[in-house]
Amino acid sequence: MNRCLSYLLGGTVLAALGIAPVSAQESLVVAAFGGKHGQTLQKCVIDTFTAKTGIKVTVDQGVSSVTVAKLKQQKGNQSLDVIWLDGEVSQAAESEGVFQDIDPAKVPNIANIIPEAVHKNKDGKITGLDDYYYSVGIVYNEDEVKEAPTSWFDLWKPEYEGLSTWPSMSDGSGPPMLVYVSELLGGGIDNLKPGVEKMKELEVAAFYDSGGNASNILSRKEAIIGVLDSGAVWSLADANPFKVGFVIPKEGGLASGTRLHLIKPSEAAYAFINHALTADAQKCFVENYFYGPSVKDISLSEKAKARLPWGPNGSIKDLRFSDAIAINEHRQEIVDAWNRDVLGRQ
Amino acid sequence: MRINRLWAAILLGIPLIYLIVFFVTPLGMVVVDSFSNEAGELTLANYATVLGEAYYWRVLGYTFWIALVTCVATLILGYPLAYYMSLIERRRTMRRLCFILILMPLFTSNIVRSFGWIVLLGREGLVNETLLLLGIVDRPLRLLSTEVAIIIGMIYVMLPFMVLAIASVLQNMNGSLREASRDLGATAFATFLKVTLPLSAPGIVAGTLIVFTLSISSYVTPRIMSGGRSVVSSMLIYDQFMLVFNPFLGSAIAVVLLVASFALIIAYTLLMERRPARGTST
Repeated sequence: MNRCLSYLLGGTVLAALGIAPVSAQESLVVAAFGGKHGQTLQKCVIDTFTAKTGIKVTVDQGVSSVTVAKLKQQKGNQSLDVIWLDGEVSQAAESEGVFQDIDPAKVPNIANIIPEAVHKNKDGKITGLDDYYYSVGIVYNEDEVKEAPTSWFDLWKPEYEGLSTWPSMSDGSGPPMLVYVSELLGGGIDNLKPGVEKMKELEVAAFYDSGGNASNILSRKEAIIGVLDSGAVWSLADANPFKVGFVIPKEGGLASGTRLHLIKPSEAAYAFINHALTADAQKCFVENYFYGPSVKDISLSEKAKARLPWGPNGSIKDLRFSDAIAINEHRQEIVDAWNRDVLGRQ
Repeated sequence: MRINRLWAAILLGIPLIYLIVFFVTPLGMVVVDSFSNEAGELTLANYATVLGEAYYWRVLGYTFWIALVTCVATLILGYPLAYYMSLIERRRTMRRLCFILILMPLFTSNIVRSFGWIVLLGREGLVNETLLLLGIVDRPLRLLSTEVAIIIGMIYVMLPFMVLAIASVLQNMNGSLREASRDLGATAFATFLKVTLPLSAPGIVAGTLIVFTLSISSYVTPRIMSGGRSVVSSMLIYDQFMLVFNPFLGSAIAVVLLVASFALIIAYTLLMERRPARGTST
């Protein structure tokens, strides 16, 4: 709180001295995430932006799909200036034509981010910029799992029979994981059979419906190993119900990112996006929420390094992103295959 | 006292309007949806899917099976409880206490109650710890996320309905009938079998109907207790509406479930009416 206040004070002083690049009367409306994720964005990105520029930022908290619904409704008269979206939702919403092109000349920090973070449309215009990444990997209880798993298929080992957990179709990672397992076994989104056959053989303690649900199952030791996204894993690790281990399997983690989009171009909106891509803002965020940053060469603490979605020595190339558009198109087949063939085995 | 027509119209009109607005209309929309597709055209395709694939029949059968087992188990557990509360316990305060205890589970939400079972039945839960301590098992039994867990959870949720339905009938039973039976030389067991049980049949019918219908439509308990490993009809409906965004197929599954339940309930009530238990002439 005190730090917030001093940032604010500092910002006001800077603004008064005329150092702030943009006029202080401006304000922005930004759509961001909820929960600890949102709190960390507020602390590391939004508050520091206001402190630096004096621009007031109103946050509209919400789930990505709802944010997109709002954009569609308000087409032509948008209330939001800048939005954050989940990578999958962003990919699917690209065709709606609600994102404005981002002029790279006005976001100089684009030069400092990895090329994978820059998303262009068919005409080669930039429409989205990733700020952070996370990955689904294998979480395990180090007290009970002696040998760290290395492959997704380690979950099928007999010693974990009835002691694993896996996302159901209600969890965001459920459908892409089923597609991913199919792909690893020679199938794909048009041929889920290999994945379905493999999943039938997995004896789980329970399938979970959300990250919180999975944390619960693991905390109660119903499961000692499972598939879970890194954000939920590190929240669990900090609650410390047991010694939490996390690995990105050798086949590659199933990753996703969060993306910034410009909705109403203005000097202030550009300044905000540019600020979100500074090393300072990203370092603060990653030290507190343990996602992987898109800004290159940030020096991180050992703790944050160990928790990066690509591991301490990896890079974004070790992650594998799913095709959200294809998954949305095949949602019916995926959910039906799950209910009918994976769960319907008995 | 007689009421005039205006009052009768008002008194009947209010619940009627309520039912039309909040029950008939949404149900009608579900029925219309079940015959529609995304383009808004009329189609039978949803029913072709639901009725044509063995899978949907299996889930429907499984849903009814769970409801049936729950029904029988709550009857076996609930009848003695209701009997004790209504006919054996004479003290008023004790009776009230019994009612409160029976009703207590209904005070908390389904979700909380189901999580309570998870604490008890888990791998490191009370039941497994006790069994391990007593040396009855040498590794924790798998109790959660099984069919047994679903049924245990369902019995717990449904028991109050069964007990209350039977107790209300037993309480209002004419006690002199049982006394007469004993006076005429029947044993206590024969009296129960030939007098009390037949007279309590309406309570049993009411209780089993309530429990059966609630069990068929139950979503939270099977979802939590099965750990996502089993599928009952309500989950299929939910998934179609919320995950696949296909309310049309979801509606068709809902309508089939509704019609099948109706058919079963009608058959059951007809059966109970046609064969009145001996001695139940009122």
